[in-house]
Amino acid sequence: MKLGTNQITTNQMIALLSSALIAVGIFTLPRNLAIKVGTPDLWISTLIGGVFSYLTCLIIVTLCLRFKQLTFFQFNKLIVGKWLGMLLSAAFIGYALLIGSFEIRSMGELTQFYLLEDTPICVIMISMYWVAIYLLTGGINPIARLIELLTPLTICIFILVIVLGIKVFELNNLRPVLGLGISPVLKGLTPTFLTFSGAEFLLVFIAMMQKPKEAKRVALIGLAIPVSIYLLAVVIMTGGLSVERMKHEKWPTFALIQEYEYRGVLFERFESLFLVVWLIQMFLTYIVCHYVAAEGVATLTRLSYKQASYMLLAAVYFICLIPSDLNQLEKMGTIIGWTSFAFSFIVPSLLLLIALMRRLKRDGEQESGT
Amino acid sequence: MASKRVVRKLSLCMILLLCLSGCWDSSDIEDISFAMGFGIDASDDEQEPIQLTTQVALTKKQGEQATAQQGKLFQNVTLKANSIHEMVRGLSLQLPYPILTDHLETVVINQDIVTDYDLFILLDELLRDNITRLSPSVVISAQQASDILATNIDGEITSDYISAFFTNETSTMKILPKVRVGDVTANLISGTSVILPKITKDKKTVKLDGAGIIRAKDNKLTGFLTDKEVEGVNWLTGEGAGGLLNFRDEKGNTIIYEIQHYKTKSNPHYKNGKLTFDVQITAQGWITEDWSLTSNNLSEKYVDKLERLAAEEVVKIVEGTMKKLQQDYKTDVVKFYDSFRIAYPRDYQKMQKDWDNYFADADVKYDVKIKIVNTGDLVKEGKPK
Repeated sequence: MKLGTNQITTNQMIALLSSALIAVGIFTLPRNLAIKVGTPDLWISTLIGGVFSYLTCLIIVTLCLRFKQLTFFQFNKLIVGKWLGMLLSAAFIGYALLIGSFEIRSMGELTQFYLLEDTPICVIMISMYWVAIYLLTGGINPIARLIELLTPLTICIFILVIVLGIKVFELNNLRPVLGLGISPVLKGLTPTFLTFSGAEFLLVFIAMMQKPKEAKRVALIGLAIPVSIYLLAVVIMTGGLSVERMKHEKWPTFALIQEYEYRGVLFERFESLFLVVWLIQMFLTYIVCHYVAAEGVATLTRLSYKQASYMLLAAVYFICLIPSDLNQLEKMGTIIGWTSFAFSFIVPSLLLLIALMRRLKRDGEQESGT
Repeated sequence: MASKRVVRKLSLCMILLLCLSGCWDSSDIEDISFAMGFGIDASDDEQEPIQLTTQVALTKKQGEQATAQQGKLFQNVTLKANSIHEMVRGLSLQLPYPILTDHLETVVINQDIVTDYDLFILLDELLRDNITRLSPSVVISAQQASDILATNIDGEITSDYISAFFTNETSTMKILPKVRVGDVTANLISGTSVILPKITKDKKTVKLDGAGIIRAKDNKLTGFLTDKEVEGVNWLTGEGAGGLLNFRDEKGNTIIYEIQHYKTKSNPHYKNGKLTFDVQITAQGWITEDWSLTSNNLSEKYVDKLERLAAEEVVKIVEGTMKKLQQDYKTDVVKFYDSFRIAYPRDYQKMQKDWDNYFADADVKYDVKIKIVNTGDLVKEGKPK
């Protein structure tokens, strides 16, 4: 393993985790949640979902720390054997590609709907790919640095644009709290948890941390940032639009931003600003997914990381052309959500259990490499 | 050798520049017609029952001659069809520049069309569209919407003019808060009745005058409220931003109370199928006009008396409004459903569909407290003449 070029700092790791989590969910979560929950208690679901995600992150961190400096693709063989390990790795690569293509496709669809009506969607997507591959071939370091640079900025603008929705906020829309008891809240846990997919990429990235001991802190802060943004968005949206309306808007987030208008400040409307920032976030999420997949392919085969990245570019493009319309795209999102549940909760817990039973542990200091 | 390489690199850069030359979706601002207002009317034609008037702002280039002639800043185009989008597209046959609805300010809906058609259907296109925002205000009119939009006020675009009325919210109780397209949608989706400000053309100008009510049952117009009744609606919802209260003392002298701020709380009680509301209104404000000559506004007793009289007047106003809403129109436009939903979420789920009827049968009690904090700069000593 090449030290120095392949390591990332704790701050970069936090930024990486939070931007992996802020993705298309900011547009899709509110409606899915409103349909499932149906009462104004959406925010409680979001909060519980966030806490649950943190618990799964802790499992992942504990697992990864047992195998220092080894990525998921390397240590799963040690736990479940070569063939099963290969299978798991291949599935994980497939999943990363799926999620990456999903983000890019959703990005394309939304951009076309709201911004560039006449631009062919392939042009929007391909331009994104090209910029991405330019960054990706540089390896993890430039990626981490770019994410560290962009994330704080995008998060600030996200918060600003959402908070401006205060103008149409009505507290009554958030009441009553738990009016129909706890059961609607529990129904909302599935969409919430599915939205917080992305945490499973820690399986790969913890191995690259300079100070792996801080991984738990990374999980806490890296999750807290996106969860609080989602929470804020859901609270302001429920207050501004009411639950009934959230059910009936295709993209409630956008409806909220379209609802208000400020006169006499620099901007009167904030849709474009929000979309631009969101595009950056989608780009970052995509980069992370593609990197994980490429890293996996490079570990499993004899291809170099660079070759793998280029090859996957084609794969991603084909995958994202599979859904033929928005409804199918949404179905793809649900499939991704459940796969994410498998990879962030079931697989790590099983692996951890087996590792504990077989007393498997590996210190990166003693020996490194696959 | 080196220079050859430089040339090669430079030419590569030049070729790459070609890729940057443009955007598929660019359009010059001079070449866009900005739609400022929509007016929806009924038409006599059976095949084409809807009539849409689009108010387009005249941008400088197109407008210079027109402005010189009659000081008009807009151009209205009226079309008939059986769908809204078809009419919006039909504009392409009359206007050389593509229409952009991003800057829409007002949607005027005529009373006849909304008696025939579900309001939700009329707004469907606007809500589905990817460009139109949810912030334009919606108003209703008894006259033809096309006439309202055709009102030529010097230096103003009528749609913008109408939409700007709502900034006056703080100065009178007879003005409803601005109803945005988004607000109407919220009502239509949750199955509650809608109240829309009514706009009237008065000779050469337009003015706000009362309100129209769209019932939840079929999203059609049930009737109008006068501006006095709108005052009552504002007192009942607590959504007004201040204004005046005009009442008389026992000798018939006019007294004006200016509301600084007020708060309304409707507390629902639901027992054995009997629905009652306790409405608590508290207001704080000043006396700004007092015609009586004998009053001593420094005396506590006098101020107390005025407070009591003012409260009685408020009760009279809200009772009048409530009577009309409960008996004549049977529609809850004062948002009592909200307080009920919060207090009895389970019952509301069952009653939601039929809420307007429950509302019509509810008993309402009022408890009004008016506080006068200041009687103004003038002190009358209270000596009889």
